[in-house]
Amino acid sequence: MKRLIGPVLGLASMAVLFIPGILDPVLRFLFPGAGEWVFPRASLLSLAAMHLLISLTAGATAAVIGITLGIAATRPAGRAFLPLIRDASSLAQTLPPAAVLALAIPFLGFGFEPVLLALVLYSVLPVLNNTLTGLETLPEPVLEAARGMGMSRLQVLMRVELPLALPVIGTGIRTSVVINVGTATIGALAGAGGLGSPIVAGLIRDNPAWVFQGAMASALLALMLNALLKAAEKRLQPANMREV
Amino acid sequence: MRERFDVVPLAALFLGAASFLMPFAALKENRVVDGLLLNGFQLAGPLYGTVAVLTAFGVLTGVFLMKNGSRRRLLYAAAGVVCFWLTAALLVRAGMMLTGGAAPRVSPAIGFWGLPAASYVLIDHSKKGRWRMWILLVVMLLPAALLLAGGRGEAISVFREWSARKGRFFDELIVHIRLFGMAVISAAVLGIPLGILASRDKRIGEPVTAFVDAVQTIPSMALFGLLMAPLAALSRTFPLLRAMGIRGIGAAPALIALTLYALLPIVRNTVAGLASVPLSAIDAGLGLGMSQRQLFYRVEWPMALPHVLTGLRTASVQAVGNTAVAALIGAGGLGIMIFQGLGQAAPDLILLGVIPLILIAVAVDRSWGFMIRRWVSPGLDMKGLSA
Repeated sequence: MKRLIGPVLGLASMAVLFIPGILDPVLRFLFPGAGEWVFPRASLLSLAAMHLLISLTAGATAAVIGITLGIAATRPAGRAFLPLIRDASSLAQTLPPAAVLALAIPFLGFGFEPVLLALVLYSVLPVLNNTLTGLETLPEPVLEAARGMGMSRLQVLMRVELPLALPVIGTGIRTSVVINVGTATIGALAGAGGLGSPIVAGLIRDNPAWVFQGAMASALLALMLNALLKAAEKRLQPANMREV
Repeated sequence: MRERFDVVPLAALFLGAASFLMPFAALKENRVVDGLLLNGFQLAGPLYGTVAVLTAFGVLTGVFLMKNGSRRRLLYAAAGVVCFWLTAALLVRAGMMLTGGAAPRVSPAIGFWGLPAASYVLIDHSKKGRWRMWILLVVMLLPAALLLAGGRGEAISVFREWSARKGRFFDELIVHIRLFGMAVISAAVLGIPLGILASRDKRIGEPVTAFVDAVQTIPSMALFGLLMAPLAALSRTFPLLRAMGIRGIGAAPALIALTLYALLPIVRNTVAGLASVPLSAIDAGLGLGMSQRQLFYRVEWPMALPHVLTGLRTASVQAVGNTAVAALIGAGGLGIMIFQGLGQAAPDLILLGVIPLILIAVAVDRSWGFMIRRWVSPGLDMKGLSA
């Protein structure tokens, strides 16, 4: 019973938000003085789809780049770069994502592409960091055993290292996607669309109803995506490493 | 295994070369026009061009010819410092090449970041021992600062924006620091006791962690937006609150949202820290005849401290960035400059907000690192916690 509360609540609020016939009276009740209620420029559903598209594309690209770099830096040929990558990525973690986004815009212009690029740039870091941690903290005896069985380097990587590091890498991907959903909201200021646009429009036109629907929808999207990815993460874990 | 070449400095060379081959800066007549893009060689002139080529040769010599490790590192560090100086020098040269216009300025372009990046890579690769890093930092920054402060950097776009709004800039800077400082302090005052309570009692612990976890997931702009409506309603119904300055926009919702955000790392790390105290240590304390209170203050708390401080560090660094977003709901701070810049499509104004933001974030991070090293008992194992 307890496990059902979250999904049911989520679906119910989604129904309220994404069906304009329900949303309109709710907003009229909550914000009697707003003047205009449902955001007129685009439906919340299409804004949410746009938002998801930006965050997930950025997340997937960042995952590929981050994992590749992480694997490269832990192979013998790339090991020289490991301390540098570690230092640089911990420095970069202190950069606020909003600042990275704002910095990327002067170089890339306004619109969808710069936001995507800024998101990728920033969200590579959690994936890279976690890939390095996952691959670096494997117990030496396990690797020794794999090599002793006569596995080639590629086999050790594909059959031992990556499967064991997968839960940590998965956490990195989840972190980066959640950050992306948040930063994509700010991306509305750069003209990228998404669920930030009703918030920005509402702030400019002093309309709390618009701010409210954008804020609710993006909060809901972030929470649901986080819960989904957490569930997926549990599945990724090798059976004998799962916590009961 | 055969001896390998030092490949990292070669990567720095590659980055530095980008500054010279790609557009380094744009010379503009005012804030809006596109301007004339020039690469590093076009800007450098014979003197700085020679310096750049010599530096590149120095790095190559270090990589391929030098055997002595510590001398080679010294060479890399020197090359890194020179790269940094070159960045400043090229910007100033660009300023001297401006011909005219209403508000002529030099805007950094994509290649600008190559030299500082090369400098970072070289110095990071050569580092050993902390005091040397400090000397290096002073040697690196001093000439560049003198060069820019001597009035020769005034054409650089960010300085132009800065001198146009000096007073406003410092006001917003102070608002920013005060806002994030207050948020972190209130989060610490709330979060540490909450974390201690949560680790004592599972019935409190589970909902508390679930709540702070959920808050952290909500995008900052959404949280600010969600707090506006209820606060506005409260302030309408209770005149006392309105008199206290609590309204739907401004500092009140920002402070609440920032505090909520800062709670997660603090609560979570307090719980993790108390959970990490080994049973044998508690056992030893009990065996010495300590009371529950003594056990907490003398054993559990000192051993949990590194985790708690790391949580405060994460919370503060995040709060610096989140405070920038708070400008959207009228709380002020450096975000004002960023969002104004975005609104006016003025990259230079964005930079004026972003550069101090990043400097504050890095400074806050480093100061916590310093304090963690000072406050944590030296006998404790800090593995897994970055200090």
